[in-house]
Amino acid sequence: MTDERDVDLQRALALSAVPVPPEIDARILDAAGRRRARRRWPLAAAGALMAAATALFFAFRPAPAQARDVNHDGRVDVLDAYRLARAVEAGETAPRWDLNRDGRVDRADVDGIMTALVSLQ
Amino acid sequence: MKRLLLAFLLCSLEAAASTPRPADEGVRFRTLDVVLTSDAPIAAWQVEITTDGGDSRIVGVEGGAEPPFDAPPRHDPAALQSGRIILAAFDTGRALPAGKHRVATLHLREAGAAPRYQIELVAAGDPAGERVSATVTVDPRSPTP
Repeated sequence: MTDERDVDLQRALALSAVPVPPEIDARILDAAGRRRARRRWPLAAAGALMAAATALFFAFRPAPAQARDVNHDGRVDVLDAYRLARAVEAGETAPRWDLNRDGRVDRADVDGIMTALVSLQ
Repeated sequence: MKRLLLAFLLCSLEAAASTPRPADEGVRFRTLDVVLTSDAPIAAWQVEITTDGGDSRIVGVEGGAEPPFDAPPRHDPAALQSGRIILAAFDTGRALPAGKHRVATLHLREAGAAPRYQIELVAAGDPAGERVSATVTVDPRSPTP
């Protein structure tokens, strides 16, 4: 039974062993490549979207509690907001105090601390 | 006849409006003064107030008795209608002199058993931004029905 199948297969292979012209070969390879490329773009788009989302998350993530501890006493309270407000009024603009990451150290950063410390969340 | 009907309708409406609903029974309003006492001048302060027992909701926040803390202190609007609130305020230009001062007033709606109010001083600072020792108390005024 197995021998008969082998023979059939050999015959079929012999029949299909017609030489394929190289231009047809090239077209088949080209079409396969295009199909593969079409399949790849959704993956590439998803990857780009994830990268953009990650970049946005890191750019606009809320300042960690450590950053809000302006006076370095190990806790975040109104004295940190007060210290930062005085620094802003004095024109001190250390980049670490740009808590809202808008490129400026100003009253909005002080407000950010105040909002966070009275929040019940 | 129409006038009589209209008068009857108006009387019924007024009677319905003035009848206390079951949900409003026992409801009273209380004012709670937040008083800060310190031997040093105060430029910044933060307190947390919680209610325990009974049905009490914060319905309003008012500033203190004198500048620079006569404006309502910073608080989370979500605290209104709840029983817990964090209040904080500072002023970089002026400070309260040493002594006893009302720095804020809370308005509360109470129902049922009388609730207990707890207040905790989170921080108080002098004009240099240094932490100072202070005591904070709540002074409830008599409730009004």
